[in-house]
Amino acid sequence: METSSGCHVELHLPNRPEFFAVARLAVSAVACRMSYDIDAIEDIKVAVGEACTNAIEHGCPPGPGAQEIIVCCDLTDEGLEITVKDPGEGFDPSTAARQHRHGTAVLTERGLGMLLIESLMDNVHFDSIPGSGTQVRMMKRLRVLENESA
Amino acid sequence: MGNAINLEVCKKCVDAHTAIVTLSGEMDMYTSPQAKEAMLELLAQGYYHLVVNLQGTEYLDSTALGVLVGTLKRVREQVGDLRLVAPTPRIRRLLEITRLINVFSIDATEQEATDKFQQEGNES
Repeated sequence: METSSGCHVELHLPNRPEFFAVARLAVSAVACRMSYDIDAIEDIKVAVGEACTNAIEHGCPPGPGAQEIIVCCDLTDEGLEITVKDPGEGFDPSTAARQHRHGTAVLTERGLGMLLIESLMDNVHFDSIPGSGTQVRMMKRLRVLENESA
Repeated sequence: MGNAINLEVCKKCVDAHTAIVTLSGEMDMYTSPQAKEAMLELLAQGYYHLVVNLQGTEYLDSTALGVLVGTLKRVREQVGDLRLVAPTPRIRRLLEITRLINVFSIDATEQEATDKFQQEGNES
C-alpha cells in the first residue's frame, strides 16, 4: 500500500458534544490507514475525545454564535500527529495535571481528561493563552515491530 | 440527534436499597448526563447500593468517570456504595491510569456484586 505520510486531514466541528463521536470516528479512520494496532487506535480515540471535551469545558461552550473546534491530523513517518484547536478563553494546563502527578486528587470528578491524554499519547503539548484559545498537540508514535526492524 | 443513538441506560431494582444500572454503548460528554440522571433518580428513591454494569460499555471518557465518581461520593454520604461490574480491558486500563481502580469495587458479574451488598448488609 502506498504510504500516506505527509498527508493532512482537517475536520471542522461545531463546538457541541454530539459531534465528538464524529471526531473520534474520523481520526480513528485516519489512524487505521497507518500500521497501528487496535489498542493504539483506541488510545487515539480516547485522547481526541478528551481534547474535544477540554475545548468545550475550558472556554468554548456551546451556545448562540457557536464556534468551531478544529481537529487536524498530520500523517508522518514517525506517527500520527493530532492537533485540536479551539478559539475559547483558554485555561491553565498546569493546574489539573499537577494535582494528579502529586497524587492529591484520586477521588476527583474533574481534571481526568488531561491525565488520560498525557498517559495515552506521546509528546503532548498544551498551548493556552488567555483570550486566544487553546491548542492541544499530541503524537502517537508508530511502534516498529521487532521482526520488521531486524 | 437523540441520546439513545449512543447510550442505552437500563435500571433494575433488586431490593429496597439495591439497584442495577446497565450502561450499553458510548459514554461521553454528550451521553453521560443520561446515566447521571438515571443514577440520581435511584438515589432520590433510596437506592444507595448501586451496581453499575459496564459489560456493554464500548467507550467511556473522563466525563463518564466523573459521573461515576460523583455518584460514588453521593452514595457513600448515605453509607452506601457503588460497585462496577465487568468493565472491558480498555475501560479497566482507563481506571488504572486515573487510579480510580483503587476507589471502585469491581466484580465479574451482577450476581457477585449484589451478593456482596447482601453480605455487607448482614454483617452490619
